[in-house]
Amino acid sequence: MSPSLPSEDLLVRMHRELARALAKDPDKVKWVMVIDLARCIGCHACAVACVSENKLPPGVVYRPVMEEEIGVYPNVRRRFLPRPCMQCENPPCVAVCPVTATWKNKQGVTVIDYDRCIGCRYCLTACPYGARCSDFAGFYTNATAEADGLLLGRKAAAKGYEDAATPEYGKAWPPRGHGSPIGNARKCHFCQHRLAVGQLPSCVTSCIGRATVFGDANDPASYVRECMGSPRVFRLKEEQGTQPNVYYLA
Amino acid sequence: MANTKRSNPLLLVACLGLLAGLYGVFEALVYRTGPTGLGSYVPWGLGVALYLLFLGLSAGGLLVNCLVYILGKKELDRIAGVVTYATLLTEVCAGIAIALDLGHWERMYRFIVSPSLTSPMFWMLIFFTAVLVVYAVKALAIIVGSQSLARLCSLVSIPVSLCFYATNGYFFSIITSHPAWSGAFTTVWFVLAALLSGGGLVTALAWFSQEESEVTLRLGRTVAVLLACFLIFEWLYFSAGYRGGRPDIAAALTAMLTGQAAWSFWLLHIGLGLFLPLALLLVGRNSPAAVAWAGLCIVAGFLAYRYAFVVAPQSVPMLPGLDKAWQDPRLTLTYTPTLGEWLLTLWVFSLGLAGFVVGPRLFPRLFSRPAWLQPLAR
Repeated sequence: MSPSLPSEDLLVRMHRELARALAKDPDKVKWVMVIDLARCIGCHACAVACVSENKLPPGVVYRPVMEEEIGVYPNVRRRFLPRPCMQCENPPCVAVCPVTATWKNKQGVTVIDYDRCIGCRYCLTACPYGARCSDFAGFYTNATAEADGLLLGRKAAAKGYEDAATPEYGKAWPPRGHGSPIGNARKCHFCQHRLAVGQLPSCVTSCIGRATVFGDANDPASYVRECMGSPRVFRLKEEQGTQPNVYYLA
Repeated sequence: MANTKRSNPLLLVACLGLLAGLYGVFEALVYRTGPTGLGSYVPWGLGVALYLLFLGLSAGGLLVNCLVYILGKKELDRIAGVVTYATLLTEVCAGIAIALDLGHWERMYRFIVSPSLTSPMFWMLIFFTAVLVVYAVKALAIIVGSQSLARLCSLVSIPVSLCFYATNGYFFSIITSHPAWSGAFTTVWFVLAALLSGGGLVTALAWFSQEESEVTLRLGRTVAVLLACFLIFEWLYFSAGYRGGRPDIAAALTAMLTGQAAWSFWLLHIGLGLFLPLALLLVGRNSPAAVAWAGLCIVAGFLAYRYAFVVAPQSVPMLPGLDKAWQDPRLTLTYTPTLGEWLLTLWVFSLGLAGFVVGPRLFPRLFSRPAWLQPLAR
């Protein structure tokens, strides 16, 4: 094996660092994400994994991947930019919520209490990254014809996937179609329910180019901390003063 | 509308509208925002525009109280009752419009049990309630003939109402992610827009409901000044926006002027809502009927202005390419209100119309001169 190749998969290292962070006092952990744009191949696997993990309905997406064509023919390239919630230090979405349904938790992640949100969508307009979605009660199987039998038909199709409750925030939500999160604002939360059981966010584990890095910014030995010190690092819309906790490597 | 013969057809129209609009109310109550044409990138639409329209119309009370108690135009106190009623009715319509626009209207009690003092929306609700309470007490004072209480309520209502209309502008002005909304200018402009549209409504009521020619002409002159100020403000808004050089602001302004709803902006807002009333106020300045029609035109054209202000800036993506990143009808930058939204709008308008028609029958004392302005019986 070439000595220039990494001796272990980055995911293994991140899992080890995650276990270390989870063993710490939770108040001393600060989750951050770093996305290396040079490694992103635009496969959208992270976006799909996120939708699947959180059982997101149509029209709700936490981590779309934006694509851009740059250059002039024949010197043209495509550039990809995944956009999760930036988990801002100074989140405009939190300040505008009239009923304190959204806040930053101690690890720096902006979370939503679906049972408290009134669905005014003020946070959606306040977020400079368009990182919040409203759940308009969509179903993928709405247009699926009903038919007899166990395998065919809308009900059977929906039962296997979208009627299932979302696992978000580790709470026991009712089956989809019975109240919240329908009608609520929804957003990326760094897969809180996965972190709670020692798993990395689904966008991190599904990234085949290992472009998405996740970890504890307060751990000086963590890989995210290394990346944050890179000269290639930048954050989106810094001029807004939101101080995102998602960093990009150009 | 004191004339029953004249008001009966209007009541019929209102009843038909209420009946037809019931489906929109049912949809909003049961399915909430699900059947709307809204999306995550254009999360505010007709419901918010309707709310802004009616809250603006409620500013007639502020205008008249300022004229009576600050500028000393005592003759306007003759229509204090109808103005108070109009303020209450339009506030109720505004409240219904925005409540039915929520994803979970049944959780509105959360404003009280878990309030956020940093949110302009919370303060908006506080001042909304305060205006409602102050005007309700004033209506009661007029009905029982208590001049001192009515005067006290009027004086209190001026700062409270100013806070309310300013908070509505502030609500938008802090949204820096949509630069066409943000900035202190919006707060001031909202107060002016409210005074203009509310002034238009009370001018129309002063003639069509009260047939007070002197009051109508006085209000007409005030509305003409407000209209001129509004035109200057609107010109400043577009001029500064375009000349400032920010592409996102320019894109939002272009969406207003040439976008999907540009026809309503030009025809209804600029044509019907600004220039036609301006012409009527200039040419027919001595005719109470012409002045009242000018007021009505302002009211009719204002929904288009509110709609353009709310919807067009949202058609500019927060990040370039965001609307193309994940394909879904709810993740686009366009918005077309659905039939249910239009029916709900029709229902709220019909409720307002019905309120004005049945008002004189339910509260005759509000629709006549206050007791302290009536000649003593011999």
